[in-house]
Order: sequence, then structure tokens, then C-alpha cells
Amino acid sequence: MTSNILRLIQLQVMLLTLSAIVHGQSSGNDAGQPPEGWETAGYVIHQSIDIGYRVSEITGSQAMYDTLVDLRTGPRFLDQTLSMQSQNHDGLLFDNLSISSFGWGGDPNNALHVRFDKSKWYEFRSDFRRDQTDFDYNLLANPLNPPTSSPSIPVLSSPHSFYTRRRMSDFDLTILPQSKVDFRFGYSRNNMTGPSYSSVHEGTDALLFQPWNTTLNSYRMGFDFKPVAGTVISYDQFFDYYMGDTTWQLSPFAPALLPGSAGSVELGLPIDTGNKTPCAINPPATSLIDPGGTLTNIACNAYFGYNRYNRIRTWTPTERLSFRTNYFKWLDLNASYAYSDAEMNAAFNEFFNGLVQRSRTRQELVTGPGHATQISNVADFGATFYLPKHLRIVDSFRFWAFRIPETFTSTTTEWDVPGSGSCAPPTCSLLTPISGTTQSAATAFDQTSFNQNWKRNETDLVWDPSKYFGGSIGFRYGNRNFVHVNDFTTGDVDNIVVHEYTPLASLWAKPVTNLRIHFDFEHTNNDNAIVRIGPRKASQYRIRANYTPKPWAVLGGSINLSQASNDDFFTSYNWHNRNYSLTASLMPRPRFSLDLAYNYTSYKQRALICFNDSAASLPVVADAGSCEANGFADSDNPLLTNGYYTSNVNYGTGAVMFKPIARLTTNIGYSITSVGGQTPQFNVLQPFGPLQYNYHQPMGNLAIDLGHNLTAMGAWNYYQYGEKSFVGPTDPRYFHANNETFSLRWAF
Amino acid sequence: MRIAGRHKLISSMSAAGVLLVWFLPDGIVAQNSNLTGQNPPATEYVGTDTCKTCHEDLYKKSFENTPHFKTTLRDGHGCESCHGPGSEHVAGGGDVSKIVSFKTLSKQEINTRCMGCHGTDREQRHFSSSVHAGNDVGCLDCHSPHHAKEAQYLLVQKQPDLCYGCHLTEKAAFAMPYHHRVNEGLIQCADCHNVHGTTTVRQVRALPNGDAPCYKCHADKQGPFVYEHVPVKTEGCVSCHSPHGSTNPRMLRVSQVNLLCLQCHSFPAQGPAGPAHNQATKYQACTMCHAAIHGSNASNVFFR
Repeated sequence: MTSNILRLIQLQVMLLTLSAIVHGQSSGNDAGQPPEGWETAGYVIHQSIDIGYRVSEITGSQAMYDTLVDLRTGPRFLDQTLSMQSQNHDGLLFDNLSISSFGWGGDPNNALHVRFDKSKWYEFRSDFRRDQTDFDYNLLANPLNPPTSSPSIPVLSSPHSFYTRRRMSDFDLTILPQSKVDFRFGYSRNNMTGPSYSSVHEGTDALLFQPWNTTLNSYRMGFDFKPVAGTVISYDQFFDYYMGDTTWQLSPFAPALLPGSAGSVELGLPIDTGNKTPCAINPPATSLIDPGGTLTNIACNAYFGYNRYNRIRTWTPTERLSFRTNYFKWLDLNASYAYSDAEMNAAFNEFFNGLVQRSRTRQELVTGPGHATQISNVADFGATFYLPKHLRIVDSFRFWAFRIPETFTSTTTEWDVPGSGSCAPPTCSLLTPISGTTQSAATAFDQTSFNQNWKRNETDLVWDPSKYFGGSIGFRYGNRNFVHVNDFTTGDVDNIVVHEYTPLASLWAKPVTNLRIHFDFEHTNNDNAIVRIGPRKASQYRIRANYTPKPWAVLGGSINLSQASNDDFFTSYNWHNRNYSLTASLMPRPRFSLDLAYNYTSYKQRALICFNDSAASLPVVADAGSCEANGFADSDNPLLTNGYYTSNVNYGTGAVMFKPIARLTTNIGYSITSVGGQTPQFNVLQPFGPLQYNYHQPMGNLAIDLGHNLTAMGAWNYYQYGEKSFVGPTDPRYFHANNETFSLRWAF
Repeated sequence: MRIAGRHKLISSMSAAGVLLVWFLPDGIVAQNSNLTGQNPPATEYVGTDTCKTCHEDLYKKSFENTPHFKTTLRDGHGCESCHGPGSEHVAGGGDVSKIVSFKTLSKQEINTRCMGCHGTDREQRHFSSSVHAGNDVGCLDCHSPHHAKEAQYLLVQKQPDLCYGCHLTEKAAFAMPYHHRVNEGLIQCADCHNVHGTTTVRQVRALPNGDAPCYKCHADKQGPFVYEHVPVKTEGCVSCHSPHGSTNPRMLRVSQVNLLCLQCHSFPAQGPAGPAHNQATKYQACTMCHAAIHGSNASNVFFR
């Protein structure tokens, strides 16, 4: 297979090169000129179509390839553009039309953009975007069944996976765009579908098939009214309607037979009999499942059936009034206010049939309506005052408040096996018929409220006295009031007020014509935090420089240092993200260019954590302190450690473009992402995964102008992903792949 | 009732505002129309046809086929809408000092001229208070009215390369293995940021109800939910995710989900209780059971 592909590539390269040489010798140097277009019916028309075929050859983890690359073999409609422009701006239906699209035929990303307008009458734009996500990554959810279990059912790939497709469409029409009053109408649709898998816990964890289906329909309309020069008053009305129609049902993973030909039962994902999951082995049996496939402990946590429906309907009308004027020379003014009240209704229905050993539950039905309302008020105000001496004062104010009253009225009907204590045969088992259980029903009413009120104002004094230097100083003040009513009956309320104080400044300079340097910093002090790792202090320093010593040489560099902390004694949270970049783009000759870039990122995030872990051989456990002895009273989690994650990322890329002859363009390039990091290991089975890996992506392509508006192209992309750290009991997440794409482009 | 009243209030205010300005005396409008950032005409307009006598090539190739052609419609002045009245320039035999040349203007002056027309557009309303304007990034750093490489919006370069020219950190972030599909052409920087300014930090766009723009694509995470996960609503998605790109799956800020959860769920006295689960046993990722981690309508611990 590989040799065939290589021969195909060699043949293609040879033919293309010969073709280019022949054409290059015979047709002079008219290549590279933009196509003239086609004039007809009063329009100038330009069009391009790029059709080809891609060959993908993957070695190693298909799941990782799908997660990171996901390009498959097959014919492709790679790219297309069409533009029509009325020569005299007097087209019948439109003066300008533009259509472009890419990625049709199976690529993970494809889009279509359509624009057309008729000068003063209307403007229309539409976008369609589709993306597919094939996500099957072992680290996010994997029970990591140990080999000591009997039976041992290793889980080599994540049972949680997503194969979703999202289709997004946007349509916007503006009528009379240049008039004193213009009107606009729009519609957007976002639909995500596809199979996926998750899990649920009812005594043990079962794999659920989750056919994803969500849709958001958005409608909008509004108008702009321009009463005087530089002044506009706008009104917009938005209607969003969200439909969540995803369902869940039991998916077989580890089935076992029941004794006496009583059918089969699903044991779920985690099989760890040493830790009595889904249940212990009853001696004299030595395995939970005997050689005949029959369950040896019939009082085991297991599933006969499970399904869940949660039909969500959310209706969100929003209206916004805004005002803008630069009517006065010394003042720009903006203001807007929006009011929104979202209504969410979720009809919930969950059915379980099986056995929950601990509670002796044989069957359970939970039903109930969930309801939430989000009332939002958003107001903003912006003003720029132009002062003498190249000074101006800029003020931005934003107010955002929402309150979300929430209720869930649930009715739980349980069918429990009579008796007390943990379920044990012969009186309680999976074989206990429903008719032998006791039915009980309970109704619960949860009423909570989630509210936030956030005001923020930033004032800056900006000074740009000359074209050589300038800068600004400013201050941002914030006031956030968070109220979370956890339980109205007990009065359990979290009320946190956070005041933010942020001085900020920036400087820019152009010491010589082609050099621009920019520096800015901000330092935030919060007197409180809503979540534990919410920063009480945060700062950012950025330096950027661009230098163009020659028209064909562009050099750039940047340093971006961000850090945050919460020095609370019980938290000791510390975070930083330090980033250093260099880039160079050189094109000394029209036939040669070189692009280089390098970036280094140092990332750290740590906080004190208490945890519960019996793996005494692991350093994080052996070296852990005592939470209680250090004043952290948490009986469930006695071990204290510094929970850290560090990551150092080196990213480099280089690309060379070379045109040996006018009709032949070649590119070669290479990029690498090298990741090295550290984090504590809590589980001996826990793979480190993305903590340390190299990701190589060399590439090459050539394009040959065949004349007659045709260009033949060949491209090769190579991907190699390899983890350097402990892989663990799952499949190695290594792959390398060759992708070759051959295409023909027709453009006029 | 109260909600309906609020809607009516806004509608009434809109109508009142429209009526108020509709009846503004014409004299005020005329009196102030020269104060919108454009210089009062010192010379006279000569018309686009006169400009074409010398600049026909530029007109044909770099003006007539651009959106700025609309300046010739209605009462517009075409070339002179931006370059000012040209009678002295013509009389001077093409003297460049007698007409507005953008090469000689400061960024602020250029911005003021552009905003004279574009300042009322919804996208550019906050430009004068934007981070870009405050740091000497002007209209012509990103747009070229006559020599645009990207026809739409007359950009000097396509997104995202245009943005990457200064924002090198972000360029590297989008090159990481897990990233939003900006380089693939599916989304653009301007989908999440309004480069012309907002009243939010980092010039991040907001949905009409104030929520983060993330929910335009990730609609299932927006809610409202019966049980909200606090950081999702108060800190935003960036509490757990790196929005541009990450070396970790799902663009998480750390490589192990459990560590991320434990960093908040550790001390009951401080906030949410920590898990009682033995990390050494089966629990590889908290999200295996707490599957509805972005918010739930049926479980206050986000099981379903």
C-alpha cells in the first residue's frame, strides 16, 4: 500500500515537473498574473474550483488520529470561489455577489459563505459551517479496570466517545443600508447531532448510548435610525429557541448470564472485584463470571435496563436599545441596554431496572419537571472625550446582572426488595421479581436561586503626542455580588461580594520608521473570590515588537507574562502562563520566501488539595501530609498535597517557498510541538497522556500552472504523535499518518 | 406581568427616542454636521469624474470595484469623501499638499476620518474606546481601501494571519494540537472578539443577554439549568478551558481532570466539598459519573 502511494507520488511529481518545464519554456512568463475574469451580462465574473483526491494512511491509534487530524481518504471538492460584480453597478437583482466554500466531500470542516448586495437597496450574507468532532480519548473517562480483577476486562480505549456533527447556518439581510432608517432581519440555526457515549451510576457505572441532538434557532430583527450626522439609535429584538432532544439508553459492555436461563444482565464499565465492583466474588467461586459466562454472585449491582429522557425547551427573548453619536467633535458616546428573560422547561424521565445492592433497589423511576428562568439586564456605556494636547479620556462601563430562579419537582418511585441491610441471596437478588418488591414513592421539591450582579468601569487617559510614541494609564474598578440560594427552607445562602481594583498602563513607540514596540501591563487585586481558584491577585505584562528592516523582511517578537494567585492559607493557589515568541517572514526574491516561528510556553497551575488515596506506593501518597494536622478538617480526604500541573511547550515551525520556474511553485515546511510536564499520579493505572509528547508535522506541496487557467497541485502532510510519558494500561496513543492530496484547480 | 412591563418600557423608550430626534430642528443638524471629525471644506468638490482624468487606473482597479464606490451614490463625493475637496489640488496641477493624503496623517486623524462614516456602524461603535485605538493601531493597519488583499472588509491580509502579525502568543496557541478551528478556516478571531472594541475585557463579544460568545456554538452549555455549576456562570469557560488552544484534550488547563476538580473541591469549610472517593480505585475521571458537569436539570451533583 505504502509503496503504491509512493510510486503514485513519484509519478505525479515527475509528470507535473515535466509539464511545468515544457510550459515554462513555451509560454513565456505570463504565469502569476491574476486572471482577467469573464465579462457577460454586465458582470465581471471570477471563479475558481479546486477538485482533488486525498489518500490517508494511518499507522497506530486511529482514535488519536481522528481526535487530532481526522482527514480521510476519498475525493474532495476542496475549494471554490465565485464573484460577480456589476460593471456599472446596475445589476438587476444584485451588484455584487460572492460565494466561497471549502471542504466538501467528507473533510471534518467545511463552510459555505454567500454575500450579495445591491448598493443602496439591500445587503445579504449567509454562512454555513459544518464541523465534525471524532473524540475518543482515553484519559477523560476510563474505568481503568485492574488486571487483578476476576474477570479482568481491560478497557483499552475510552468508552466515552463523541462522533458529533455540528451544522451552523447564519442568514442576515439588511434593507436600505444607506438610508436614514435601515432594517435588518436575521436567522441562525445551530444543530448538533451524532452518536456519543456517556455513563450513569446506579450501584455501578453503566455505559450509555447517547444520540446527541440539540438545536438552537435564533431569530433577530431590528432597525437603525440616523437622525443627524454621526448619530444612530438602534433597536433589536432577538428570539432564541433551544431544543435539547438528546436521549440516553443502556449500551452493552460487560454482559453476563443469570443462572437458570433467566436471561442476561449488564455489569457495567468498572470491573474491579478486588474492590467489590460491581460486587464481590462469593467463594467458592473464584471469578464473578464462571467459564460458562454465568454470574456467580446474583446479588450484584447490575442493569437489566436503563433509559432517560430530558426534553429541554428554552425560549429566550431579548431586546436591546442602543445609542451612538460622534455628533460633537470632542465627544464619542455609546450606550445600550438589553433585557432578556429566558424560560427553560425540562421534562425529566429516568427509568432503571436492575439491582442496587446497597439500597436493595430493583427498579426505579424518576420523573419531574425542571424549570429555570434567567432574567438578565445588560447595560453598557462608553465615552471618549477628546482633550487638547493629544489627550483623550476613555471611559467604559458595563453592568451585567442576572438572576436564575430554579425549581425541580421530582417524583421518585422505587421498587425495593423487602428487608434491611445490603442485598444478599436468597431473599434479595437480581432474580427477585418486581412483584416481590415493595413499591414506594417520594416527592421532592428543590428550589434554588443563582444570582449575580456585576458592575465594571474602566477609565483611561490616552496620550498620543506624535507618531513616534504614546501611551495610556487607566484604572478598572469592579463590583461583583454573587448570591446563591442553595435551599430556601434552611436558608442556606452563599453571598460573596468581590471588589476589583486594576491599575493598567500601556506604552508604544516607533523609534525608527519600521520598528514598532508595544508594552502594556495590568495588575488586578480582588478582595475576595467566588470559586477557590479564583484569583485574588492577577497581573499581565506584554511586550510586542515588529520590525521591517526591508520591505521583504518582517521580524516580530513578543513576551507575554500572565500570573495569578490566591494566597489564602487553605488554598495557596498559584498560576502562571509565560510565553515567548519570535517570528520572521522573509521574501528577498519573488521566487523565494522563508517563514520561521518559535514559541516557548511555561505553564503552571497549583493549589493545596486534600484527597483520599490508598495507593501508598505512589509518591504523592507517600509524601502527603495530613489535612487534619494542618488544620484542614476533611475526614473524607485525609491526605494533603500540593496539587500541581506544569507544562513546558516548545513550538517551532519553518516553511520555504521556492519557484524554480515561473509556472512551478513548491513549498516545504515542518512544525513540531514538544510538550514536557509534570503532575502528581493519584492512581497506579493512571496514564499521563498529554503530559509529555512530541507532535511532528512536516509538509510539502507543489503547484504547476498548466496554462488555460489550470493548476495541478500535489500536497503531502505527515503527522506523528507520540507520548513520552507513562502510557498505562490503555492502548498506546501513538500514530503517524501520511496524507497525500492531488488536485486540479481551474480559475478565471 | 413585571417582565411584560419591562418589554413595554423598552419599546416605549425606543419610540420616544426616535420621535425626539426625528423632530430635532434641522438647524442644529446643519450647524453641527461639520463637527463629526471631518474638516470643513476649505475648497470645493470637483467630482469623481475630475479625479478620474488623472487617476483612472486607480479608480478602475482599486475603487470602482470596492464597497467605497457607494460614496459616489446619493449625495456622496466619491474620492473626495475621504480625501477632501479637490479643487485646489486640481488647480495646483496635482499638488499633493493641496489634498488630504493619508500618508501624512496621524493614526488618530485617519481614524477620525474613517469613523466619520463608519463610527455609527454596529461593529465600530466602540472603536474610539477600543484597546486597538488606545495603542496606536489604526484603521489602515488592518484595512487598505485601495490595495486590499482580502476583498471582504478590504483587509490587508486574511484572518487569522492578519491578527497573528501582532498576536504571536495566540498564533502559537492555535498551533497547539487541541485548538479552536481558526487555522482551518471554520471560525475567525472576529467571531469571538470585536477587534473594533467592546465594553468587555479583551474585547470579547457578548451575546445579547450578556452571556459569553462561546454559547453561540456550544449552545447546550448555556442553560439556564436547574442546577448551575458555579464557575461556569461566574468565572466563565476559561475557568477550566484555554480558549485558544491547549496541549490537553478538550482544551483543558491541566492534563488530568481530577486534579482540576480537586483544586476547587477540597475543603468543605471553604466551599464545595471534596470527593470521598479513593483516587486509587476505579475513578479515573470525575466526569465519568459527573457527566453533566456544565449544568444539570435533574442532579445537584451533575450525574445526569
